[in-house]
Amino acid sequence: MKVDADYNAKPYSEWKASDWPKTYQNPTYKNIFAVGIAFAPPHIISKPMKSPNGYKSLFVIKKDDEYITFVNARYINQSGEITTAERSPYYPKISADITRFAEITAVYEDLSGKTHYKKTHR
Amino acid sequence: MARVVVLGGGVSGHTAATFARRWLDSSHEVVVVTPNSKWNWIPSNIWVGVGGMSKKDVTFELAPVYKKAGIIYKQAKAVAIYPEGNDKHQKPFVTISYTSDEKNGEIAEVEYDYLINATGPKLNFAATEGLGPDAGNTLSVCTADHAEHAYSELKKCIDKMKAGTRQKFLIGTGHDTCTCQGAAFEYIFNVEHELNKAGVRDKADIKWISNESFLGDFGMGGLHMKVGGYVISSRIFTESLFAERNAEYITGAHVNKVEKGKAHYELLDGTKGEEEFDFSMLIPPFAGVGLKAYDKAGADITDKVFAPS
Repeated sequence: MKVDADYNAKPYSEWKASDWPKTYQNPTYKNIFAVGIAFAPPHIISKPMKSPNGYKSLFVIKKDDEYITFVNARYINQSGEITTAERSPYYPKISADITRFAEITAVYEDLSGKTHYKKTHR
Repeated sequence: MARVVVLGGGVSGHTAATFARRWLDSSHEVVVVTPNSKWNWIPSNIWVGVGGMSKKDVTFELAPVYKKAGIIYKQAKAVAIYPEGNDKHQKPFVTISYTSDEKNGEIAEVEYDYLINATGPKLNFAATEGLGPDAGNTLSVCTADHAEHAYSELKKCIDKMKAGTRQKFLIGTGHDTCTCQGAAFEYIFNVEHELNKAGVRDKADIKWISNESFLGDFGMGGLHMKVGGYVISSRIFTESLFAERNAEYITGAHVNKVEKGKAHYELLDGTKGEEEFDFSMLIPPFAGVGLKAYDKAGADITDKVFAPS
């Protein structure tokens, strides 16, 4: 749950103690508070590290008129199952029923190395 | 009159509820919604996992405690929050699903004036293929039941060692996003202590595997301790302890797959490896419990209320 933390993605060198919450109050609904481990932390505490293999994964998607670059995207949570017929534009006559997660949350970096999260569903 | 609803009856939720009850006069209501009938002091599960304490020692029934304190207790899990109410409720409310034997699966709506969300983490074993007691390849000490199961497996290993068979212990974290290294650290040395006590330490190979970039990081970049007039870094303290107790370690490891008796991992330098084991307790990463949120019109505002996890 979002509380009074600074959730803006920024590099490790700019992390500050003041990014962390003080009142645990939800910024939108002032009568909601989230205490304990369930509140969403602004970032981890240790310096983030990456394996060089991680940079091998890169893809770009176009949403409306915006291009989003996903570097090193990986699932951090998934739920449900949904099965739909899928086909490739290269082989329009062939399709197959594919089961995928109904909802996923992914973590990825952008080209400047900032971490982002994206939650999406089908 | 105001109603305070607390979601979750763990350390934070229980503390919030009991203080709210003490500080508010009796014209106000305090309601706790939590799916388990028992409270669990989770840090002591580390002892349950080596038989030093029983499940009974680390849990107690919530209902009599809340009855005595004058706290309304609903054995249920929260499903969704409606912070603006909806067409049926003027006030904000939460949707809950009962988990008690009598009302299992029954849905109810509980209005609130103030809401405290203390639902705690979901143990996200699914982040790593094959991880955790349900997949059956590694053990956990994250719940009292998991810890009891870990102890029963530990006893089997001790019996095998007494019969002369070497056993390999692999303890640490099961994913690169794990944040609870301290629990695994306590557990590895609790296990080492028990093996010594059972007189089988010479038959055991003990290894730590962790996502920490250095030994003693503990997920918080290390720390300094003042002991006997000296200041010592957690790195020196921890490396010394591993040397003293003859335990090996792998750090900077992302465990990406577990099979029966084998963990696969990738290190920070990009190299890949695998480690065999007879007994493995790997902490899972944590995620949110999956609560949803909806606005007055019923539109999904989960992304607005919750940070992704």
